Amino acid sequence: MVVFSAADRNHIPVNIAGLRNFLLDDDYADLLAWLREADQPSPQPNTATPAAIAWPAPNESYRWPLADRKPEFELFRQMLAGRQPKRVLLVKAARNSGKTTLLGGLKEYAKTQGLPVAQVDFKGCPAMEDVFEQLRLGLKKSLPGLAAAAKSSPSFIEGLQELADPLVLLFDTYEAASDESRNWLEQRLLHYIDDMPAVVAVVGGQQIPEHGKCAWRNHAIPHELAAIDRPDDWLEYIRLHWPEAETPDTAAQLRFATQAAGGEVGLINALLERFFGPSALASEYKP
Amino acid sequence: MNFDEAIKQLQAAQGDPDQLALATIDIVLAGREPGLRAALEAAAIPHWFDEAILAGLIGAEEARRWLEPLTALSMVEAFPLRQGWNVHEASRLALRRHLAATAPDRLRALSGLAADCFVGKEPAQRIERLFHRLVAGPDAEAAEELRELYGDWENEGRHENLQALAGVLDETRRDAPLGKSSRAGVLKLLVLIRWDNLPLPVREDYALAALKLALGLDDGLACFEAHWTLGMVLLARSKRAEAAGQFLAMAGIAQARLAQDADNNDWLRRLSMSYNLNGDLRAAQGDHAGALEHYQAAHAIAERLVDLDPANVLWQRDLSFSHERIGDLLAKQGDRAGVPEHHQAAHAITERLVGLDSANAQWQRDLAVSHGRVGDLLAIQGDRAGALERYQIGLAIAERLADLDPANAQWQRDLAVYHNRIGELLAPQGDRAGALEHYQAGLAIAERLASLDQANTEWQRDLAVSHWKLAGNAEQAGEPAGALAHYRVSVAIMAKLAALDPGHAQWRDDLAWCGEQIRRLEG
Repeated sequence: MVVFSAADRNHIPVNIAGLRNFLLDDDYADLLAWLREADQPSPQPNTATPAAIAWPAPNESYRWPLADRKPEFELFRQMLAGRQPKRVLLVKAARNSGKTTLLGGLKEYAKTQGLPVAQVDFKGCPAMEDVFEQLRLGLKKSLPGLAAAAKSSPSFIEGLQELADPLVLLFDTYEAASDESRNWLEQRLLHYIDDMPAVVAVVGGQQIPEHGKCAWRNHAIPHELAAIDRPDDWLEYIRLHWPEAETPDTAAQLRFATQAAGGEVGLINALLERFFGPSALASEYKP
Repeated sequence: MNFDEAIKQLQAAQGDPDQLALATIDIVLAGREPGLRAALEAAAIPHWFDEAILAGLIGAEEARRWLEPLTALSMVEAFPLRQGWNVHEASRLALRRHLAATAPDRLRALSGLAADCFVGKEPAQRIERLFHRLVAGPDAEAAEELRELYGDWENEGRHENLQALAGVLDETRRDAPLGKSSRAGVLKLLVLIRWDNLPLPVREDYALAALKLALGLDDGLACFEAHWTLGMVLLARSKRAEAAGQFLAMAGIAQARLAQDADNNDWLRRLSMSYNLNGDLRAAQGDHAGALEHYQAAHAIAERLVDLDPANVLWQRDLSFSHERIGDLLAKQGDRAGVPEHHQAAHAITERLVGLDSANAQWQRDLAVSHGRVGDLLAIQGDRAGALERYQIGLAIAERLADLDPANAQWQRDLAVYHNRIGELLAPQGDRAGALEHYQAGLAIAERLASLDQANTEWQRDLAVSHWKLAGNAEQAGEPAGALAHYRVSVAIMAKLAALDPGHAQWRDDLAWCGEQIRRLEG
């Protein structure tokens, strides 16, 4: 159980974010009621998940390809294994901090698990018909029936409610979403997440839905991505992707680089690709 | 450049986000051909690009040459929605700001070329074109193009397009070097489009800034619109005296224009707008005679314009509003005989307009409102079944609209109004359970809206109204304690509103009435 103040809503460490949580000021009655319930296991089993849903076993041997972000990946891996009671991950982060890269990494893992994935990018403030178009395109091959239902909100939500196998929905660049899209996501789709036991949703952006006042807030794990400012994380990344590029100076260079770039993921990624990536190896730019 | 030199370059940025982004671009492009940098700078102008857009910016041959290496850069990402790419936001904005500061002529030239790349009629194309026109100029022409686009979509009720437009306008407000006319237009439209989403003080800041810019231009229309926008904001903030000043200024500008060109229909229409707003102010102060005078002046203009061109849907809509205003005022004055003529005339116009374009959400809303008013008339005449039917039609339209866009506060408010009206009809028929259901639905909406923006006095009053409806219902059900509790909430809200604006006749009357109910129940 986690009790926190409203101001800390987005700062709960990700490894305990999946536990039952309460707002210090607003949820006092809920907290008391919860405490009174005898033999309450913690965390709660996923009561919304019927046994019929075939969550795949977590792939323990999967090599996570990104720098750091391991707690986020672990949380997602547990979600996809049906072992996490909350199925909505809200990822908030500043510009250039690797949200889209993280979502891409999560998407790849879901695919290796054989799960269908649909992704919506709100970049460019798409109209609702464009949002549905993205969903249709994403689901066309894996779930043609659901793709056909993604013509209107009611039929799509109904389709999601009827799913018996897991589906991952990813929403990126939430800050650019129109009011219509935001309302659809917050007040329609996620509102019914309790009735969509096979759906796992991830929403990323410089802003995330204001879930605190929403009925689905206890299904959500809000999380703020930090900069990746530990040189060791980047060293591990280089060793994973370009092991032959490492030199005795690499560790020291990464210390300076992460400090100078303030841990900004986009900048460091660009820098490393430039000096360690395949094009660098083929040229005179090798560090 | 080696790695150590790259780090020195990053350190020189001293943590400034734009400088860091630019330094990273320098590092990534070091040793590459200059053409790639030029291509990246050009690609950073639009929100997205494909080969054709890039060709429009740097020429077909250069675009063919640089597209592949450009899209392989780490700061360029796919943009699936438009089947193209975009420069990552941090890099795009840094490059644009750098160009604006160091090579403003190049930014304008590239923006002009970009504008020519987006010539489609689709909303996204029109918005992107306008975004670049606002930067490229010429200023007055770009502002006019913005006004036209807004006017088209507003009149067609294309709410979603307007929301997308507002997203881009907000970016230009923050980041683009705009001329005075364009900036005034951008600020004004942000207030109008995001009326329900921007906090009132922000709306006032934008409207005030737009007015200051407009006053510095020799542009009567920009000034008229800026006075109008600020007046509406001031009215929403209950600064009625200041709002009156803005509405008078509007009328002054319109009259001055008409003195030079008496048959200018656009300015005639604007004069009628200012009459209506001045009438609204007087009605709020309880000056019904003064309000009626203004409304009738506006009505005469609306009739004259419709006679000139009965096919002009804008003028038809103005005439319908004018009928509604006069009908409402006569109802307030107790002049029941005059009301039906106006409400029925308004209803006939809105039905005709919806028949012309059923996709126009504004006209659909007008029709729902009009059904409500006709329902009110029938209720007064004792035809409860007829009234209920009208309210239910209004509710059904309002539900359709609210479903289309749950974020539209106006449409949500309409829903609450119809729930309350239906509750009012059901309660006297003894269907207290039905009435309670509708009142509670109305209260839920009113509570949601009131919590969204506590400075919105209209929504606060709606909340008070919902509570007194429930109070009445509780009283009829023989639950005086419940009734008292609801009346007390109403009194608390109305007391706050009345303190905010002691001259507001409606709020003063509301407060007095709720107080009376409490005293009566307390015995």
